[in-house]
Amino acid sequence: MSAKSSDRVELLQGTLDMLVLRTLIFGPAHGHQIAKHIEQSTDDVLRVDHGSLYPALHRLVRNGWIVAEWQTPKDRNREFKFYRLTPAGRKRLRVEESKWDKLTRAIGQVMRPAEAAGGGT
Amino acid sequence: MSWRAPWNRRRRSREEELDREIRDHLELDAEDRRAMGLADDEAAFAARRRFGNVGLAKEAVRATWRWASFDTAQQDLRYALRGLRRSPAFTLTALLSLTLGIGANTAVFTLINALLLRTLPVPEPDRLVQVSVIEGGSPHVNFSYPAVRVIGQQATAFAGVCGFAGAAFDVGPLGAERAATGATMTGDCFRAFGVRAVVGRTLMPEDDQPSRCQWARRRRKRRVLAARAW
Repeated sequence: MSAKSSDRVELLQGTLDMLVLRTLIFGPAHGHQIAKHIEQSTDDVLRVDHGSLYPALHRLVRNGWIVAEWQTPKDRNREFKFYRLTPAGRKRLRVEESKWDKLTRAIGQVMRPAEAAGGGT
Repeated sequence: MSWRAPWNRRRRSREEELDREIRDHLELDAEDRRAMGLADDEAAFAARRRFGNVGLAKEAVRATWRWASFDTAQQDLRYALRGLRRSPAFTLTALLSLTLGIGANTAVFTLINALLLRTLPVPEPDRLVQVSVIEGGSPHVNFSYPAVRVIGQQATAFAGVCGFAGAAFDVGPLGAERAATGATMTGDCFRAFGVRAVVGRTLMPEDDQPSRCQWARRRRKRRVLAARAW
């Protein structure tokens, strides 16, 4: 389940914000849940220092794409800081996704010309 | 899971919140690792390692705050400028009243500074006092010459007493006089101020005495030229 350290990939600059926004689509989450979700959904391949998540979260708050609220989860007896996607954040995520699609398609065309062109020329 | 109403939320400082947030993260991570069978200290250590440098992360978060305040300051400035441009009449009025207000205050201060605040160029300016008489609730600084003489003769608190009044003179050869401003002063003034003449002598108390000869009175007017007039 857990990838060997040699299999781990450093995260591309700027993609962490997109991954955080994407994670929050499923509902509010605190920092640890977000970190765990990113790790688990990539089979632990993506290497993110948990610490680098927090500057990203605060940057997203500053841009108004997410909001932070202290609240008590059902299974706990004290408050944790939860982050929630805003409508502006949802819009931002769509922009980032389409940019990402374009980028991967373009890189794919360079690296795997035959596949990307769908077999034709 | 319940969202707390904003007015119920206890206000914490940003720094405290960040501290707690990161502590929570490390605790939750260690908890997970304990559930997977790690010992307490091993779990805590692993959580820390996974988190990376806590101080560095906090500093990076603080940097986003700094940019936020810089951003809002810029936005405020732009907003203000746009508002001013949209209402030129208001801008002009505000600008004019500010200009006049500052200008008038500067002028008044310059005057007060020259008259009252700047110390006189005498050896012991801190020992100079101005005598005034309070009459009907308001101070008067105008005295007749006899009054100045009485004060000079009878007031023992002063080393010297000087009476003066502003005056305009004609200076220059006959037919080509020029107006000059100066002051008439009692004879003790220069001694009281401790000011000596560079050339000749200053006025002395004897100069206050009118000449016995009626015809010579005009000639007994003695003058001291200030260095600037010289």
